[in-house]
Amino acid sequence: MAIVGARPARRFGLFGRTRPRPRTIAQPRRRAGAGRRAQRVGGVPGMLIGIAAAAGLALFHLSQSSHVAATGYEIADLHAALAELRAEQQQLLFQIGEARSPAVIQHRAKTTLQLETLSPDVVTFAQPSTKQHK
Amino acid sequence: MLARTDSRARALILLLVAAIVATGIGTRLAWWQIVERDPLTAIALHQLARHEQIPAERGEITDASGVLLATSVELQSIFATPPSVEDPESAAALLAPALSMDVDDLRARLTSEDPWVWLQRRVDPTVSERVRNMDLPGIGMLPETKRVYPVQGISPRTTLAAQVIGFVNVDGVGQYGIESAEDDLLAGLSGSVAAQEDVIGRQIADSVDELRQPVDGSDVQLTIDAGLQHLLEVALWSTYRRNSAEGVTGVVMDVTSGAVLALATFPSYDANRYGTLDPEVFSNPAVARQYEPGSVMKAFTVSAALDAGAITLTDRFKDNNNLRIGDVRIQNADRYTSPYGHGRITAGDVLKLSNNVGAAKIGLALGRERLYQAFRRFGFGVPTGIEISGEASGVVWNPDGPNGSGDLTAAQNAFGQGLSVTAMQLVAGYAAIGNGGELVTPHVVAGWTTPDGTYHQAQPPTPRRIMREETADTVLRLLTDAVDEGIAQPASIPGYSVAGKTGTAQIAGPITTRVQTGTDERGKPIYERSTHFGYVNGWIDSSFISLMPASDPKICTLLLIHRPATWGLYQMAQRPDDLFRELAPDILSYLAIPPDRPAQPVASR
Repeated sequence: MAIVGARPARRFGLFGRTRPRPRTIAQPRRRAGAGRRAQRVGGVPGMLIGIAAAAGLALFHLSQSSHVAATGYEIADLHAALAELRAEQQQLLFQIGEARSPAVIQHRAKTTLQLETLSPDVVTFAQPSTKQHK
Repeated sequence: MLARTDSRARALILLLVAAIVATGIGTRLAWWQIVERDPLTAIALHQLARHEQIPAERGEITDASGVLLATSVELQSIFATPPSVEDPESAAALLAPALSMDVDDLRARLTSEDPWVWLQRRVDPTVSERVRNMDLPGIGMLPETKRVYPVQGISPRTTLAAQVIGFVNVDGVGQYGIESAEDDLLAGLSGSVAAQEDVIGRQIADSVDELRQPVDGSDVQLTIDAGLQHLLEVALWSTYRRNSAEGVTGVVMDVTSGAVLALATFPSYDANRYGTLDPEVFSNPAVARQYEPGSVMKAFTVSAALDAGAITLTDRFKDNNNLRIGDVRIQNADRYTSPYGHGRITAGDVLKLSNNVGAAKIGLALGRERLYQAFRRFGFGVPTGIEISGEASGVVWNPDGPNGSGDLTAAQNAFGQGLSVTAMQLVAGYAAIGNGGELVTPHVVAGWTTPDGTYHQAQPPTPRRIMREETADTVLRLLTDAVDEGIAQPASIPGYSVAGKTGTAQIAGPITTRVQTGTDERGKPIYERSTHFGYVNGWIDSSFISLMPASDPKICTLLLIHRPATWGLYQMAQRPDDLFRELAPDILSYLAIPPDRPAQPVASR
């Protein structure tokens, strides 16, 4: 059963009334408040646009932040990969250094290649040329 | 049926409740957001803050031709978080063989009450790979930098020129050798970063509050030549074993620049595994050990006397193998073969025969003070300034000072006893004879390259003239005669003129003797052990110093054998002059120094 004289339901919050109040008052009065109402109607979409813009900006900021963070993590991963490669390079340089050790070369030359140490007596030095080269 | 007023009342109540709740929430929010803002911000920043050091990369050490002698590698250090280890028993059993650790020790660590423990630091890549593949819960790895020395030495478990280079400890600080002496240059400056991290510890991009970039260390290039160093180490390692010596030392130096081309000692060590060794082996005896040099000092005595005009080459000194100063009797090393001395001998004969009596008389002819001052001019008693840490200064007493004994000190110093020197001081002194009378500063650093790629050549101090050029040339000739005709003949090599001097000096140490302190009631003697400090029988330092080629010296070499096994009158398996004859041709060939004499048969010993 309808309640006679009951006021229409209102919502709390920014949007105010959900539907207009029934107009039972004479026309002139309505005309008198029309400008204010029109202003009120024009303010809501403005506010909505502002809110939408703010939300858009917030979303844009969020997406950019996420993108920066993701890129940062990608860079960090690349750094880590670079560090691993550098570590491997260092290991390789160390192994090259070991392989180039005169003691290692001498050992391999003697055992693997069966080379003998040359007696210093057989080393002869070339005499400096006396001819003048033009 | 509800009346209109009831509805309003309910709405009002609801509104009131909502207002109260909203006010409460708002107040609470305002409390956290406004009143508690700063402390909460601080807590949040603290939780997110990441402040870490960015270590600078330590510079490399290379030899004169760029061979890598020391570099840094990144290795994994293995740790455990004991509360997260699910089955410590099986984890210990699995890890023990991989880490070469005791199972019980490992189990104790894995069941430790500590939240975090190291298991092994800086393990080989093969080991870290094995551990990674095990994928054990509670076991993790962290990268750490380790200093490595890739070039192996000739003897097992040694690295080339270990005592020249030194090593870096676990804290990254250089110890001994160049690593210590040039630590500031090599280490660089570490940087730091203050930023925020996410929940799993990754740095959040664009959150850096403060960044100080590290400045990497400079790469140091040595004057040491790895090939020559190897030749020297091969020769020294051989004689070290043949002589069952306590130690051997060898130096090859450019006489003009003072650049040390090779510097080797045994016993040596593996700088990659220094942790388990006796620290005594770390210091470089060529610069750190001071010893009585013996007859090699005679060349300086003769140089000083000739330079001061106290003697001439034709002056003769009577050698009857018996010079008495106070209670002390000075004799020659060949006292058993020439018990009455060699008669009237010249300064040249003193060097040829390595005559103690003659050298003492020349020293006394020069005068105590002038001999002392000459030795100081030659650089004895002060460190040479070489860039190897732990250099000793040696000791030369002023004969007229509180520790001197007047003529006795001067006479003993004249033939190399009663004073102590380092091998490097001797080499620098002989280099002065070889280069026309200028004392050069021995150095092992050729230069360094800063991280921006700029090479800086090391600038050793300007050589200092310490004797006239004529004097240096004269002594050089006398030393050449000592090898051609004197007791250093075993050191002569075909095709090259060699100027050189042998030196053998006794070593002082504790001597324990039995002393009769009385007799017992039956008349039997009672002995007690008594220890005093004196020259120990059979303990010697035997050395040979040379300048090659003597016609225009390029290099000075020193070979020193410390406490070889001896018998008879200082007989040993291989004398340093014999070693020199084996080694010198290799050195000359390696350095491409052409012969200055027609090849001739090696003089018979």
